[in-house]
Amino acid sequence: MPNSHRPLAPHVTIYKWPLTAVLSISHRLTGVFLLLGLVVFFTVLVALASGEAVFLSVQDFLNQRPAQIVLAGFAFALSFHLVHGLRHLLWDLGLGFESSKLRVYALWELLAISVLTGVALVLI
Amino acid sequence: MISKIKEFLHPLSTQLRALPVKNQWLWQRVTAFLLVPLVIWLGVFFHVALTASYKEFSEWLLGPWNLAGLFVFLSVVAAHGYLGLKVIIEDYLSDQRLQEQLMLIALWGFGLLGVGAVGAVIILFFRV
Repeated sequence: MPNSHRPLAPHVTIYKWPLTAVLSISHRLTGVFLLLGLVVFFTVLVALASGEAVFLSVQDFLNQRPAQIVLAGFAFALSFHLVHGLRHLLWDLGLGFESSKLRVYALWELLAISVLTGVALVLI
Repeated sequence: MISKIKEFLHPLSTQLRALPVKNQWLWQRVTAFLLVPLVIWLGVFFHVALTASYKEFSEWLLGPWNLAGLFVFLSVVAAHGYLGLKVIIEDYLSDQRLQEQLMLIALWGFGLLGVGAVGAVIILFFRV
């Protein structure tokens, strides 16, 4: 039988994803999204090097509502990537694998992400 | 200039792609660990960038600690980002040729970002 006609095993589109799996794939998605944040970081640097007028116009743009919403998105993505990254580091040490507590840990993680995002939004 | 950058990047990309998987895993963790305190610096960077005047922000960035913070942040985030993208590309794309091309694009992207950032700081240094 050719490869293309083989029956497929049940896969990700059939099973209900556990919360930990959703967080895990979101970790990758936020990582990719944060690369766009690097472009904003780079833009600020270039604007600064281009002189006061360019810097002030970029600063003014970043203080407008639509840009603030995007920055809030970056703050959330960064908080998410940071907190879940720390969980990955704990997993690497062999900690936090108890299957009965995985959901509880995931909920704690979401709480930490919310708090961290809130702090970042207040400070920035 | 471009050919010199290409000459520099080619052996680097070959070496990075040939890094043993165990080393990549370790570097990914080491850079992740280093990025934890650097995220605080990044938060302060954006706070100052959005609220301070041009002169205040320039002086803040050109201070020795923040300049060091900038270069450490850029180096670590580029390594972490490249390794993260490499894992994603390897996991979701089966075409080896496409994998290699995308990794090269990623390497170029991070390289140009780094060179651009260093250039911006040098220009700023002479401007202020």
